Amino acid sequence: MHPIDWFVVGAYLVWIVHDGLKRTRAAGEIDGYLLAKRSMPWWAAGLSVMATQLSAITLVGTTGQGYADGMRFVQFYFGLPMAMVILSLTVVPFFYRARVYTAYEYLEQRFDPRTRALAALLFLVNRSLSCGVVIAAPAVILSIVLGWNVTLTVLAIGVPTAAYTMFGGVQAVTWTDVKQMGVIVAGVLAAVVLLLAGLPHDVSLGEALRMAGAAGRLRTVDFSFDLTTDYTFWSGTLAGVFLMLSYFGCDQSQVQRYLTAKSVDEGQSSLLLSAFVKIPLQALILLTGVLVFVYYLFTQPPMLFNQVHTSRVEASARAGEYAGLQRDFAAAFTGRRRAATAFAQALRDRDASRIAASRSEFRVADKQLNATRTRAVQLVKDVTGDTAYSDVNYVFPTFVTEHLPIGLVGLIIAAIFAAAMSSIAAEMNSLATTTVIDVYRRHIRKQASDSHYLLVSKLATGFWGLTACGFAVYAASAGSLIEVVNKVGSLFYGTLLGGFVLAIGTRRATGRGAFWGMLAGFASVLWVASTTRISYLWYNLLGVAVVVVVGLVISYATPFEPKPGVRWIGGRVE
Amino acid sequence: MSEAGVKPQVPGEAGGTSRTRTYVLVLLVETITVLALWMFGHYFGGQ
Repeated sequence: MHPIDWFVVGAYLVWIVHDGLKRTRAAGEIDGYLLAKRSMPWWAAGLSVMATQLSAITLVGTTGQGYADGMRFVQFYFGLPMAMVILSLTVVPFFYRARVYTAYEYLEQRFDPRTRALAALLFLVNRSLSCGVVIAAPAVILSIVLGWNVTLTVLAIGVPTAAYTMFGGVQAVTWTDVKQMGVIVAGVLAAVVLLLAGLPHDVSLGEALRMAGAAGRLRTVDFSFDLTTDYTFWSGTLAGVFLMLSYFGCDQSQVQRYLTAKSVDEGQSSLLLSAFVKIPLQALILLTGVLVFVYYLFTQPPMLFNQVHTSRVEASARAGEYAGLQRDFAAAFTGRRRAATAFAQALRDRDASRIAASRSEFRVADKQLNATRTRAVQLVKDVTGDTAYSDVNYVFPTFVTEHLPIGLVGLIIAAIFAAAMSSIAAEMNSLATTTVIDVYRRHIRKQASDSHYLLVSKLATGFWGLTACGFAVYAASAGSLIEVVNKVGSLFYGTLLGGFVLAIGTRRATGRGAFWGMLAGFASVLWVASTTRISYLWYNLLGVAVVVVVGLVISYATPFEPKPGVRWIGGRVE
Repeated sequence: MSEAGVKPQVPGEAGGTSRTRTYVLVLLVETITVLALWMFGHYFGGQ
């Protein structure tokens, strides 16, 4: 990287860490440290909700998906607005009125300590794994694209974040999230503007989009119903709404965001901000990937964006085959560029027959290029044994470092850092909160001063920060683990959501029913995940259904002893 | 430890009508966004 880019990244890190650490004074009591004394304005809490969900994996992975597969992934978010409306009506008022620190505290009030402990454990396992991966994934990508040492990159992301989270608490997390969302959006917009400016002078935006459409990159909404297809209108809307309900309603890293709001109303508004903004923002990020695809129609891309194994392949017995594929790729690119230029000319001339013919030739040329890439990927897998090898996540960082001007490279790298840090700060803070409130204060030391719990909270934050960095260093070297853990959330979320559906949505559910229902739900999801090809988005719906059905059957089969004063959505339980 | 779901008057709870309108607006904006995305893909030849 150019020194100016280093300066931009360094300035960003110093600015964010300083901003986080200056919140230390406001975090002098446990209520301020964990919940900001419920003083956050809705827009700050709302931007923090968005920043927590938008990790670096989303930023580099989504642009890569836009490049390789198009915009279908936007359907993943179709369930989000409905989920936010449901959560605003249900859990936000419930958790706020209950004056809890964690979502799982409420489960003990409604059911029993055992159910609370199970839910807290599911959260701690899922979120701690995720925290490590959220650090590891961008660290691996940046280390390969920029030649950085991967361990140092992990520490560069994890240590500053742990520092300001540990000392500044949730206020540091929230206010740095607000600034980091600004950096992320500025980076994405800058990339889009430069991509549009980088189109050949004789290719308009409309023509560029038609080329992307001809190559299948603009399939946005798929109305087919196929349980094995990851992204369709139905999986996003029906199954996805359960994932979103669980993630934003039952995962402490998100629940804690809106618990810091000034009031129930502001807590609701913080979620509704995502309801309005999230789908357009994700569509923009995917479109950035599509525009990178268009850019590479006229500038030769690397055959493989992930160069980690290139030297091994070139030193192997199949080096000649690899060199041959590179020649084939160069020739295929020349053919595709010629076809793209002819297609653009036909569009400008508005010659219907030539448009149809040149579109067809362009599609054939694009398929030929992709076939060469596929053979190259398979060759890498065969030579290195890395069956999980993929280069989708490397497309955007490679484009940025090779084709963007000095200074903007630094901005985009800073945006990737911002996306990672904003997510893991909230995760570290929520892991510490659950550890202290649901485990330490509940089971280990039940009576202590406020200052004692504050100290333990800070130590717990530091512990989870170190654990996340340690796991990230391990995960960085275990490539396929990253792909697996990315989907592991769906193994847990349906179960967690089912527990809260029983708690808030039913009167008759008991602690015994909820506990065994959740175990049954988790087991059923694990069984489906390991024995079928059903897409992971449907696991959430399955988990909720099994938990609720089994939970209610057991509840009705056992004595009902309602606790006085406890409410469900329909009124008092007793 | 607080009681779950006990409903004191919590400051800052807005009136029902304006919040209902916001929820309807959310769903309306989403419907328009999904339609716009579908039309975008259809127009530029991707669908």
